[in-house]
Amino acid sequence: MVTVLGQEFFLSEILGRRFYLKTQQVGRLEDFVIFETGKLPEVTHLVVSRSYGYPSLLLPWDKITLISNTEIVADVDHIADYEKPVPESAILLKAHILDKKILDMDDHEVEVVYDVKLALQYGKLYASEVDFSRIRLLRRLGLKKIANFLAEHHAESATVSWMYVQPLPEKIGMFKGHVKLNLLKENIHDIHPVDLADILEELEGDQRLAVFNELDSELASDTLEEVEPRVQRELISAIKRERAAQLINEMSPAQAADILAILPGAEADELLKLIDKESVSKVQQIVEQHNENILLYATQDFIKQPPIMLAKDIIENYRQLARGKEVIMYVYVVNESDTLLGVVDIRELIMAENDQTLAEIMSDNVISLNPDETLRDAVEMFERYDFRAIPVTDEDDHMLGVVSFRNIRGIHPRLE
Amino acid sequence: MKLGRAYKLAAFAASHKAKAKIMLGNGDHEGAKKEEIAYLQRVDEIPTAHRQQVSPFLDASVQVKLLALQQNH
Repeated sequence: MVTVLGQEFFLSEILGRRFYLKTQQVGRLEDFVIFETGKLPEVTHLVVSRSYGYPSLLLPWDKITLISNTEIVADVDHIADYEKPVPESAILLKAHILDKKILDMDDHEVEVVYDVKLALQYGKLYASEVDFSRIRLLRRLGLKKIANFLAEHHAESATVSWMYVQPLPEKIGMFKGHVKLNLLKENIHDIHPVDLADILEELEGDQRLAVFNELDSELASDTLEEVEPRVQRELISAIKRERAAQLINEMSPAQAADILAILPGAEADELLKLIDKESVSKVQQIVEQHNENILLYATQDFIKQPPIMLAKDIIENYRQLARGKEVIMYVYVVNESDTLLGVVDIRELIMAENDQTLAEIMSDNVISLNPDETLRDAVEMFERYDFRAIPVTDEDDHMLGVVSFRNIRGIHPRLE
Repeated sequence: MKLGRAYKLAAFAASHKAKAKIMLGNGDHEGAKKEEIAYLQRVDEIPTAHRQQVSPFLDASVQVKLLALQQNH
């Protein structure tokens, strides 16, 4: 029977502790092997590192007799019996969980595990909770005073029961029997594609692919539409061509074009050959449209005024100025040679003082499109800045037109 | 949009100049002096390359602002 001083302790507090076989010090505690029980994982073995040249020890939990604040003692006679490597299929708390990303199934968020709480129950040791708080990280770094101060003043708990977390293996075959992975498979379909997209964006390459491969075609397709282009590119390149084509087939032609537009030309062409014949021409047409010059979508029906105009005069005549115009939410401020000087939002106009001129209230840091840019460039800009219209100007800032969000949103699914 | 910035600074300068004129007319010499200093500071901030180009705008703005301020009071 093991004697433990304290029913609960953190992994970081016990790692590195001196390890004795009866009275002889043999090394230091390196890690814990855990076994999935379906509820809380149980510690089955302790891994002990020894001096250089000696193999590490793998000691069963039932051989441990004491865990004190300074040492751990095991009751074994023949050390050679325990000189064996950790099996590849074993789950190790320090090596596989600590500092690794974990999917919090409750909040659908990816967190980093800064510590693991271990609890003793009926003579057995369990990994009971994971701790995401930076306070634990500070403690591990030896910054106890700062950690204590933060713990007192920001007493927010960041521990989550092991039952609600899902370790994300770097290699899909890492865990014995894929116990955790099966759990993931059961729960993942409850997560909305938008949340799944956020999760995938936070993960790294192998982990991202492991989670993505667990999704059925419909969910994978919906999620693929939601992730950012960088991740879309990575996922499409990582999965098999046939699977990628299958996911694209699940999408509308506009959404499919959206995905194909961000891929390198050769890769997009290869996928086009694999997708359903009846949608190929529609998709191709939309992809080609993405490369059209933005001036084709620019309008001349916008409001432009000289900088000397008083805001109150514009407001008084707004109805007349806006009549027949396509873009009416912004007033573009131009000089006598039609050089764009700034933009005034209708809200700023309403809020302006009676004696303020447009030049005083305009935003002079204007984001604009170049005349050689494409519809795709415009879409990216609308997504980035959330404007309702973007002016097109030449290299000398002369106004060439305005592209309105309303005019292109039907063409591009991302803007719908 | 560097020219836009120059216009904006000129508009701010014009506002100070117009206020200085009104204060002077009201006998507030101290206030007028402060506005004149602010005006000069704003003009100084206008990039040299654009100063000449925005000069007519600055002069015209002073007149527009003067009129607007007088109407407000």
